[in-house]
Amino acid sequence: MKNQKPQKRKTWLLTLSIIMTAIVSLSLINTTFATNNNLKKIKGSSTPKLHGGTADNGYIVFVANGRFESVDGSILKDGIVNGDGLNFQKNVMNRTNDEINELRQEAINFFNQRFGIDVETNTSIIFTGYEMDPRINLKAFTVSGEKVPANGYPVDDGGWAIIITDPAGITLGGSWDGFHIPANSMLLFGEVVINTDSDIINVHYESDTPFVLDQFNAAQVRFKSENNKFGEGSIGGIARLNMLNSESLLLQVDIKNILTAPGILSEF
Amino acid sequence: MKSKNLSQSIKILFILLAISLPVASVFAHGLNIEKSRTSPLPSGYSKYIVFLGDGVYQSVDGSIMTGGIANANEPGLEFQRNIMNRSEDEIATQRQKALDFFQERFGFNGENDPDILFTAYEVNPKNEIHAVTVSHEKVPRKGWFVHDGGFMALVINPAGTTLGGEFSGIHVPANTSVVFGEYKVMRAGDGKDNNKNNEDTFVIRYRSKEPLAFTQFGSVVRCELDNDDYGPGFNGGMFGPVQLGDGFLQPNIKSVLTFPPLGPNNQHNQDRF
Repeated sequence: MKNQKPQKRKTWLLTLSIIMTAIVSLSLINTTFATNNNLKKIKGSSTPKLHGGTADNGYIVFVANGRFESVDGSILKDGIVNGDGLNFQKNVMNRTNDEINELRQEAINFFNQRFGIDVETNTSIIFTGYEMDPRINLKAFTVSGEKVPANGYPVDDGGWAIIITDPAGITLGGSWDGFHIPANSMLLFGEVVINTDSDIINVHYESDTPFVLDQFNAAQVRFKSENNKFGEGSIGGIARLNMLNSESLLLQVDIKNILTAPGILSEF
Repeated sequence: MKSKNLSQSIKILFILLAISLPVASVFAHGLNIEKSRTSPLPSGYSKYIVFLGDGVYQSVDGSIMTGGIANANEPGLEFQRNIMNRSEDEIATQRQKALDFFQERFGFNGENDPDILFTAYEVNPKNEIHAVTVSHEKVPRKGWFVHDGGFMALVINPAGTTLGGEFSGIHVPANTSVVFGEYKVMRAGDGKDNNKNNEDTFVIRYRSKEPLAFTQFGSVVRCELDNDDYGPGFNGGMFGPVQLGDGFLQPNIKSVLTFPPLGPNNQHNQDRF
């Protein structure tokens, strides 16, 4: 009887060592396998795996719901005419004047190539740098792979815009040859910067379709996008701008946009 | 003797468990299977949901309705019968609610207005609309399938029509539509072929806040929402179908549903938005 106890202990120790060896070795294999495949451990929202493959690489949901007195009825900081977006370029993007000029030229080239608008000679438009008014309260509510806090990640937004000022609208060229858009339509070439707790996600976007407000002050938002986290994609959604008081220019913003990578682009 | 055997069995079970868990994990990584996670709820909201629809299919008429717009009524009634499990009386009641709503908000006399096509509809399941994020719920990566159907009034007069009701005097062009419908989100399985008997599903009622103008790029989506658990909400987004040739299209549906509409708790924000 006395000899049974050490024997029992021996069996338990053997069993325990087998279990520990199995756990440690397989965990090591697991880690190596994951590292070799460059798989990032997902801590936050999962990445969709949809029928059409949209968002396989990642997706981001942007929501803005600010209510504020606008400078001129727009959602641009300092208004369409007085805003130049340089604060965004210098202080948010930390660009030098040379870098800003280079990017500005890229925007000009893009507008010319895609929409056939020469910003230097076209008198039916305003071409301007812009920064979205921070009071629109733009947030990223979901970033796949990220554990987004309840208040969302703060988002800065700026770039270059064309606003159609001719009351008769203009007829586009480029990939949109012959397509007419009304006054107050916009074309954009810009960036959103998402400040996560551990990272900066920089999303470049450019108009896929013109931004045309309908008679109820809403517009489809459709951009081609590229970012340092998920690669190429598209942004789609809605921007509703409800003027609550035409004297004080009190504006209720309701923007809901979704970035998916890969994305879906128009046939134009 | 029995207890010794039991003890041995438990040991073997532990060993198998210890081995199988890491093996499963290795395979999961190898197959690039990402775990689904519970989505957080943004502060100030009672519910937050994201829909994406990216199916590729041949549309009858370029629209996203089952059967096409001209023949949408029968599939729409099938949606009421088979997805919403309504009797003929209940469907008639639902239809009347839609007519009353269109009359009150937009001044449409759905049944007798020659400018208007009033019809039941089902959004074609081939659009593959899925809820990919639902706050406080663990949604699989392929999302939860969303059935979508209801009643609509579509302006068919090429000259458009002038609205009444809350939009009195406002002229809208042809192809403008207003809707009164429901999303049925299927939490379990793939949602399409099973789980039709209201098991583990939730329904969100929607209705047009403003008319939807269809252009060649599709339309924005802006509907008031209502759910028994989450209360009133708002759906903002778009569908921008991309024509892929040979009648194939990809609907490009992207919607964010928030309850209450603008989130933050200050009630004054919810009255006008």
